[in-house]
Amino acid sequence: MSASQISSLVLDPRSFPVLKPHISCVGTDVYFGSFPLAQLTPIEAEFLRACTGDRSLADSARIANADAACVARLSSWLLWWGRPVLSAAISPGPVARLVLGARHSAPWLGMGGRTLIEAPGLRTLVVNCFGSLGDSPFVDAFPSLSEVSAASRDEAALLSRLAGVQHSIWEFPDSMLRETLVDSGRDVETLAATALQNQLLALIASLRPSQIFAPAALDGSPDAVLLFESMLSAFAGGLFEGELHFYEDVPPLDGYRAIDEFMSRFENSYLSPRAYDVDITSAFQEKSALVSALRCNIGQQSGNAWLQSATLRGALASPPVPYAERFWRLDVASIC
Amino acid sequence: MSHPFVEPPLLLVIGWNDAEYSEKGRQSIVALATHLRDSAGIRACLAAAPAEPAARQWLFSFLGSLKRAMGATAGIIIRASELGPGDLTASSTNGLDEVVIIQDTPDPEAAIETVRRFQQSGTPSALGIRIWLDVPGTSFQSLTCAWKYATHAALRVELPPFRQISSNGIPPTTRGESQQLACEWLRTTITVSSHGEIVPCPAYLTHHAQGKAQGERPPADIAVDLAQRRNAWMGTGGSHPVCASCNRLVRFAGPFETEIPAQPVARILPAPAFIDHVGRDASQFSDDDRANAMRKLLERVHAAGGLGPS
Repeated sequence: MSASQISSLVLDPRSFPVLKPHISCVGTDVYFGSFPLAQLTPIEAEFLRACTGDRSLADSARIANADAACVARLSSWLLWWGRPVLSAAISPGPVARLVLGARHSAPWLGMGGRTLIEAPGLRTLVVNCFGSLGDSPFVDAFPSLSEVSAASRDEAALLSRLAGVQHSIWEFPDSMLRETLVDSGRDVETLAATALQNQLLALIASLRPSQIFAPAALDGSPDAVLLFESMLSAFAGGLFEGELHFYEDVPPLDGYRAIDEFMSRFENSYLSPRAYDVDITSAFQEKSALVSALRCNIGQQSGNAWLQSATLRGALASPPVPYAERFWRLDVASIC
Repeated sequence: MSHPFVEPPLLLVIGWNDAEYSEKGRQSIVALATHLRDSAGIRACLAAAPAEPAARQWLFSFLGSLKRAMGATAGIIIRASELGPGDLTASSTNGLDEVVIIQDTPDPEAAIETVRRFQQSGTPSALGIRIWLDVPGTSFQSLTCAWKYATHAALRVELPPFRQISSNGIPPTTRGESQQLACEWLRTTITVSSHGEIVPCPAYLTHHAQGKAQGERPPADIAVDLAQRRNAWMGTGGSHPVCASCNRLVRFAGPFETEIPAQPVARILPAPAFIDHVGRDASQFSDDDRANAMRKLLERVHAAGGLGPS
């Protein structure tokens, strides 16, 4: 039993609970996705509905007339936040940082801690480029693509509210859909890459962010690779101004070989990825909460791997810190 | 006459932004439908119901006649906030195939009750019902569960192929016509406003409302133009082959395209039997851990003055 699991039952009445996005309370029925989990008492249901993130646990419990035992029973369906959660996503506007992701979960798993720390001082837009968001290990809970997609959007929206960032979900076809697109004699991947890069450049031109973060495509998934290659070629071609950073999209515990391959990509290149770590110790508990909200696409084990990887990254950082996230900033190497 | 389309298109008529279908608009829609029947054919027609009752009745009648005369599949889109008890009955009696209810309010209960009453009325009907969730800022999953479990019918609850309210976070751009029309929507769907004006896809209705539409054009011109622009996304011409406003390449398939999957979608990853991953955190505590955690919780609760009656 880990300390973090035990701490999930240590609840602060001053914290701000919000129902996890994959949990729904309809009437007195609770669902995980669309899988019925339990039937609640009216007080329990009222308490869950009161947990909107903009009022404290004490206030939520008071509204629903819920006692401590009631709160404890429902605690694992709630995400606990240390400050009021924004009631709506931040409205669109100029941004200083653009974070791109192939899947909606990747930017939060790879750089959620950093985003939590830096977003208050750095207006941030998180863009999920591919739209179908259809993978789920939980067949019973999310039996259709549409339900996975809906739950994924709920997750993305909540995480953006928690972190105080703008977010946008594009609708580019993911790799599995692209495979079904029939176009005689033409390379759909190339066309999709062109379309994606054009769209990204149009966005960058309109927002002019000083920093852009993209996935390092360490797991080799076609969508992440498409995004990575689009940004890499745009940077190499001087098609936008600003810094280009890559974040890990595979837990380093699982992906050391992939990192080697990532680095080897730049051998003999005039582009050089400079690795650096960001201390996320102050936001680690909040990142843990973020990870717990991502459930329709990833299992608990995968979420834990990301949290353990933060420990590893912290130990390897210089100087060592308790928790860290790894990034690479792309520079133009000096030519001797 | 050669068909300009590989397959007959879906005709989508969006009228509610114009409050009602004007007399001129009705004539344009009838003319376009007739022209398409004679040229490309119509696979299906889906039309948004106007708020004005007489216009809505005309639309029911038009769709019914379209179905009878052309054999096209016919459906109507109605906002949940405007769904009346008679709408489902009228759809059924006019022979429509499907009603698409756009859930545009956070509380679905009123619309659910309307559907439930229709189902319980015993009216013999093959009318399909589909729900499109379009309430930004609300839990899609909660709405899905509410609809799925309240009506006990094979409803399709899904995200809409277009949104009435853009939650995209990116303001629509104002690009040239050729770029706007490079929209994947046109692969299968012809979208016209209630004034008979064609728009690239429903995402552009805002532009239309702001007077930025292209203006009325003869149906023949529209058909030829569309034929030339098919597969626009696949074409490399132009610097922005993807619709610059909506970016939507995934859910362009409108209604009538697919059946309810009998099995979970194939792309879902193989997985072990369902486990309550949400409740497991607490259930895995040992008795001692649970007791300690509960003791700490109660201590903090008492220290903070309690949580109310206990």
